[in-house]
Amino acid sequence: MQKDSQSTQSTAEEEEYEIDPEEGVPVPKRLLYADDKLKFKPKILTGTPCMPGQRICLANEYFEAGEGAYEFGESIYASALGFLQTEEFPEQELTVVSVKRGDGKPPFTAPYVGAVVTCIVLSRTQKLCRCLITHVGSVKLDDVVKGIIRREYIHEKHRDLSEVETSFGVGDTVLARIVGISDGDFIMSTGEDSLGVATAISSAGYYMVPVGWTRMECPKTKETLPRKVAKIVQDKNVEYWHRRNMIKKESDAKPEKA
Amino acid sequence: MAYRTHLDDLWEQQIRPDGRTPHELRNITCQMGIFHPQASGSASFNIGNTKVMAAVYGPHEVRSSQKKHHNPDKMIINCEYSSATFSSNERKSSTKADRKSMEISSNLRSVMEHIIIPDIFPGSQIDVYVELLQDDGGSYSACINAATLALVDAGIPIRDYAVAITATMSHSVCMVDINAQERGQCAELTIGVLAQSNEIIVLELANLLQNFYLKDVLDEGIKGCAAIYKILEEAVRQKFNKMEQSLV
Repeated sequence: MQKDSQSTQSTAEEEEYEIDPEEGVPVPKRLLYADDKLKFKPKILTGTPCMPGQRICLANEYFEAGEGAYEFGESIYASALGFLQTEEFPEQELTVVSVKRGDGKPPFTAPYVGAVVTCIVLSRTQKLCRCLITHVGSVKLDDVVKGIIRREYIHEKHRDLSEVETSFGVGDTVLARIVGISDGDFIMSTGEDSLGVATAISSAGYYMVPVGWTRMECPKTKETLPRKVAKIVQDKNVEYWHRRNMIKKESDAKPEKA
Repeated sequence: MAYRTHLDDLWEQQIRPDGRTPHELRNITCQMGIFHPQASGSASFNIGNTKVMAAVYGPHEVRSSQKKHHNPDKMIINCEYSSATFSSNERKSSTKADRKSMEISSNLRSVMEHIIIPDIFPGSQIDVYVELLQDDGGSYSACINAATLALVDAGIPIRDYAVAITATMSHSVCMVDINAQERGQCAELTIGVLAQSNEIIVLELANLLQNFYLKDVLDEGIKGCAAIYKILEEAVRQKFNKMEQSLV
């Protein structure tokens, strides 16, 4: 008790002032070095249940709101029902706080501008082809959404030369990136190496194999068809899911043997 | 000269016609996920004999009828309120297009637009359908509570819970949660607030209320909203426990 009273007295008397290098005004020393306090990371328990509108922590340059959370004033609040999760980026000294549902599904999914989506070609005309968006990233949509790929957005270079007929076929699975919205339709682009036709079925009914950037071959009849082929980059997440599914299958199989 | 009645004696002892004290709410039950696989979020909210169901569909692509008018940078929220033909004392033939339900739909939409974070998924639409099954006073506030629960069930990002309740002043007594019998005799003030910040988002008055009573009635209503929020939170907790159990 005595120590406490002494320390409070001493701080009141020895209020040291120092000139702020940025503003050139004398500022109490403890306020000048207050930034160090913001760096101090409070322990956020991951997995704690959160309600919409619940305050999670302070929002500053070291904490940012992710999925299922929003910043208002100087705090981060939860905006969905779920469990708290944090993701740390040590290089930028940043912690992203997000709220996710327990089953691994994001709380709320819809296509947004900038997302890579998986879609199926429904019909094609000379100017555009219409698609049905089924997945956003790796998440399956509950309700399918329509999108458009315009002729000008098929290739990145020589935009006027590209044709819809030599790029897509009806029924192909296409990877595309959403670039905008017009009249309620999503406009998509395949102007990247990793975007384009992922799988296509030949007239004989086999999955075609890509041979080069612009052609796909049927393994049975050796017939080749022109396509805008995607060079598919294996995502770490995909590998993770494969591994997880394998483990699941093994664990399912074991009890049957026993 | 007016005769003293039995009810007047009750008012003197601060007992309301249905036997409640002024601050007492009717019995509240609520349930989430009543249309589970069909709608993305749904809830029912019963307060006394007032029964409301709400369902949220979406997010899905924008329907063609609304494509022209909307701002492409924002998510569209479509709200529809309807009351069942058997909900009130008089049987109504058609309830969807009459003036009262149109007004409630548009009011509900503005409340939903206030609590939903709108700029997350532009170009998509959310449908909120609210159905009044039985009306025994405070139907509009029950609709707001039910719609909020359905939004939480659907996992749509919302800023805060919107909770609402009715309050009034009669016989120099402030009362919350008035029923249909009391509604006929006195004013009905519907108060809706954001649960965490107590920010008033809905304020609607039916009949006349003395100017200088307003502050007392408002305070009483905000207290009632806090009580309702506790019950909604409890319902969400129960849903939460179910979620945890399904994982294990």
